Amino acid sequence: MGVEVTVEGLSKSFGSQNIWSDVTLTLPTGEISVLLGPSGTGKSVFLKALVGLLTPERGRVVINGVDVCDCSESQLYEVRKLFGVLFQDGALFGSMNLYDNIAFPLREHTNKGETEVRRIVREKMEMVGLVGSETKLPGEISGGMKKRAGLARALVLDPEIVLFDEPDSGLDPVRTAYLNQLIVDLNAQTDATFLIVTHDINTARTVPDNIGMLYRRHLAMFGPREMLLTSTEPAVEQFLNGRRAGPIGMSEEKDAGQTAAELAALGADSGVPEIIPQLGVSAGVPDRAAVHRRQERVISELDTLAPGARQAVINSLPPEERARHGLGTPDAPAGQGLSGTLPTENLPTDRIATLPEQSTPDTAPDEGAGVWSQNAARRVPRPTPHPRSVPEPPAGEAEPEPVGGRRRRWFRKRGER
Amino acid sequence: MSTPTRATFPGAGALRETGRLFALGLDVLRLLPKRPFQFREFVQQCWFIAGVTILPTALVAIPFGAVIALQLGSLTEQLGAQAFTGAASVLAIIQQASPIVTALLISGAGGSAICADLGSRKIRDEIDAMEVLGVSPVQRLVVPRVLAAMLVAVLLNGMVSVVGVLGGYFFNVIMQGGTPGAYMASFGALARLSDVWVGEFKALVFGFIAGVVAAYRGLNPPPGPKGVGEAVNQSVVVTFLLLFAVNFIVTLLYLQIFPAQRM
Repeated sequence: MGVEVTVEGLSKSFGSQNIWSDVTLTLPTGEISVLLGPSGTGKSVFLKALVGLLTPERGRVVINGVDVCDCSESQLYEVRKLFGVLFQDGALFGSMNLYDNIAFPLREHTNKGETEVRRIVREKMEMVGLVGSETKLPGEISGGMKKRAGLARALVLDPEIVLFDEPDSGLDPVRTAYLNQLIVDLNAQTDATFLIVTHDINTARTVPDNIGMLYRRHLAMFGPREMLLTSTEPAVEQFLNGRRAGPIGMSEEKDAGQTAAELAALGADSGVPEIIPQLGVSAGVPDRAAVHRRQERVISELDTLAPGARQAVINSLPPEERARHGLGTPDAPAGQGLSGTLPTENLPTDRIATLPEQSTPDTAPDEGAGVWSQNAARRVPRPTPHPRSVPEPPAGEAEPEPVGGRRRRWFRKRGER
Repeated sequence: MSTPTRATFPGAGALRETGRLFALGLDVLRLLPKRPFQFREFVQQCWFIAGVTILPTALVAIPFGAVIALQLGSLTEQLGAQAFTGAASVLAIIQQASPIVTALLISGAGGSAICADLGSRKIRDEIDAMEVLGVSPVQRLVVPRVLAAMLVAVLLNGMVSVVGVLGGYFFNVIMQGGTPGAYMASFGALARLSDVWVGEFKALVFGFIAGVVAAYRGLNPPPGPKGVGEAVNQSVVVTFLLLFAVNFIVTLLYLQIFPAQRM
């Protein structure tokens, strides 16, 4: 069971430069949240503030009743044991091989014997598809592998809160799709609270339960995915569409006049594309408890949402839920500013047509170390004609890409750990 | 930890840095007895620091002893006190030259490596990752390194003393035609065992300073890979400055507490 993270009025500056101020949000227990934002809006800084690596000027981050920004060092270390953090480039310890890197938290914080450690590490390495690379050093593997190893290390203590700092940057689209599926499945299995910092729009549209966006040195918006995906706020809309016209400029925000002119020129094209259904769990993985909790929560605050978002929420509900809460039909007119056509019926949970891996033919689903596999034993044959398990990636890519080769080992200083 | 308004007056930044440096020094002392002690890391660091310092130290020590012996030799000759050359050069080497030479090499060779190592870990987020995993980098990385610097400094100091004294003896007796007997006699008359102790004590303190300064700069480098280079540079310079200041104070105290022996 995850832990709720409450952030109240958080502000951070470096010197005279304000990064963001007055950020208030709650990461609901066990749900997946995504924090979006243009580059350089302090998303990574926000993550570091959550784990107490940076001290904000004002505000509180409350986890399990402890204010991370204002607590003793020993309390901080205790709270941090709840966290698993995936850093941007994995942040692996350069002097240890992958196995030792992933085993590090277990050896530090548990009294498990070496056989137990080996079992857990193997399980996690299998989960991220790194079996066979145990003895490689971080300097010898590619960026994507580092990321996956970092993820395995972050998950090895079964954390209650998992923070992902741009899990998809530097990964190819196929691996990103696998990673996103892995995140959803992990959430179903562990029911931990997830926060993903990213600027990948596809991730933002398919993975999270909640989305937030940092922009202009404050939190522009945070709420259920429907709220942001149907938002008409120009910056949010621009970002989710990934287009140039809008208030976000190359370096900073543009001036209002230019923005207005561009938006006028854009005319009828404006509007966030229709909502893509959320990614479901893989076959054989238990249902996500968070989905049901979130459903209750969102329905209870339905009145506070904008009409477009409200309609999107209603559309996403299964008919029986809709009937139970006495909510309108999905065919009701969509709210203001929503030009995309909303799905008029609830989609089956396993039909997620937009993901790349969906369309690949079904060949050799259980082979290959490169597959982002769930626990292989747990995988069951799928009834659908579009199984999510995927053929082995092209041979060139499936091979772990060694960088520098074995030669490097000779140059490594002894005495470095 | 809530930071109120930061004081801004000329020199505030320097004061803040100094304070943080001392805080790290205190943290190291506080975490020294904390289990589990990173014995493996400690041994590896000792081996590494010793490896990079032994040869340069020996090579520096011989000419250092020789220069002192030659200088003193010509001076005492003019004064007609040639018999005291031995005592004077031994005192100068054991009390002053040897700890300083040791510390310069510990900080120049060992400290710069420590600083670069920690700095590159910092910019690769390894230090942050370690903290997030609930492991104190000070206890895990800094304490073994500082201890290793101290131990190696003490041992090196012994070596420099021996090599320096032998070098001094060689140059005085062989090159300047001094009498071996007089050299040895004055040696025994003026030098005391406490001179060795104070030399070793200085080496211990200097090793600690070199280790802490290197670790501090390494853990707080200016941003970017270039920052690590700057941090290494600064750590060596700051250590040198601190060494001479601390050396002055320790010498002053020592001379007050143990006044020079009279014949």
